Amino acid sequence: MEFHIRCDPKEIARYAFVPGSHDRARQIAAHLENARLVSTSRGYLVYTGTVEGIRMTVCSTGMGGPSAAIAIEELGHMGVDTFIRVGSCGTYQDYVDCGDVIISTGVFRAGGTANNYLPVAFPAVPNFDLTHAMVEAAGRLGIKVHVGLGSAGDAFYAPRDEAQRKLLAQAGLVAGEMESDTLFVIAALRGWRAGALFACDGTSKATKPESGEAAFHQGEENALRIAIEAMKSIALADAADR
Amino acid sequence: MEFHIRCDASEIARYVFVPGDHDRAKKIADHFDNARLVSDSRGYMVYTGTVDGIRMTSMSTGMGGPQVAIGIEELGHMGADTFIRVGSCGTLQDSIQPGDLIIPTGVYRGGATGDRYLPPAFPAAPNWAVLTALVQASRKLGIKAHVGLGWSSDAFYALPEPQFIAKLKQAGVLAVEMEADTLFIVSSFRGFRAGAIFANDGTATEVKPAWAEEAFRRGEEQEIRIAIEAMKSIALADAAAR
Repeated sequence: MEFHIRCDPKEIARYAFVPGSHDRARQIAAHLENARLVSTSRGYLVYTGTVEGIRMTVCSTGMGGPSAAIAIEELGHMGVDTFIRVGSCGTYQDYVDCGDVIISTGVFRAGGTANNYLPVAFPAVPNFDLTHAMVEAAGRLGIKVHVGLGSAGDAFYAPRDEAQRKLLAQAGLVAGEMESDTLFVIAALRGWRAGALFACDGTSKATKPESGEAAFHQGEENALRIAIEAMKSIALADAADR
Repeated sequence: MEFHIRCDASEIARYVFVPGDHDRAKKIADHFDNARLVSDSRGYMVYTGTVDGIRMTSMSTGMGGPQVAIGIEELGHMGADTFIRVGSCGTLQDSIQPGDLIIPTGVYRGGATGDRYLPPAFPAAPNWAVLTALVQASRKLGIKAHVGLGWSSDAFYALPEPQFIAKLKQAGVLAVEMEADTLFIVSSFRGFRAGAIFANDGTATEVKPAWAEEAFRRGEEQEIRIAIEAMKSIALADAAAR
């Protein structure tokens, strides 16, 4: 049995959603048929169920690289090879509003965990097929998304380096969050497929404003619908390849 | 007039192919209608013509980051904002043959020129619209292309540590070349759109073997066709969005 996610490997599906938040893991599980809580140890809430007969797992990773790295490594040991992070984020860009959904095409590696795997010059980018599946799913569902780069860092409350923030905004970064750098780099090293999308809970000026909360929750629901639709299409393509 | 590319700005199109090789710049221009050599200073061979009525430019950048950076900066000053690198590469993977095509989703930043613009933690990734246009063009033309990671280096003849090469191989790096890191980083910084495609001229164990030349040349012709088809679809989408 794994050290931290305590369940029988048989209870884990090949396809996993990895939100940071426990509540969001529950919310995703609510979209699965026959979802069952299969582990709660170390704060990882793990649910497995099916979507149109396809087995899928949801695991909350908690916040930050260290906790996300342990989660995806252990899920990988138990047979997961396809991960979609369904996260929340802030934004660098004035054109992004609370509730907007952002699909990541790559991320600035401000976090430290991934440096233990591959040097910082290694690109933290998602798997193409998975990302393409999410963009197509958003189109089918009629949900508007932004598609672009982000940053992922370790320290939510650390003092901001305003000069760097300005530089990264100029370079077009859209989303700011805390886990996708770790996810993309570890997935590359292990040969897994990973993608990420985020619902934005702020603006370029305000961090998690209360006035944006309703919009954010709508965005969260949109993001998880896109993620499930994309995962379905990936699983169907896998089945057709066999 | 620019310092190094010496021509009237009106002679440069918005859509530009940026191979490293002079001969390849000419081969691309051979696919244009009414191609004209508009500059040949400093080793930048610059041709402008049209494809189905859309103005396009083809320019050789020479080898390595410094020349790529100067080349696309000056093209940008003259109105170019969309770049496709049509390159050659080697490979780290045993499964990739000479003549195979690789479309990068991100590259390891082994070169130093990009560091003058954005720190190494910034992902060297292509623009999503250009990346998807290249993948879709390859499918439309029925030409197989690998879609995955690359490694850009400054030093063709240097000897990297075998362990480092093994790690990048494990992490799924397909292509090895010398310019995409700089192209992607400078483009992110300036707000240009950039993508790349490479034709492989070696194997995981051989650098440019003579026996692979014929297959490579076929791949080179195919990547040119894909790049032109992709650029056409981007230009048509731009026109439709207006």
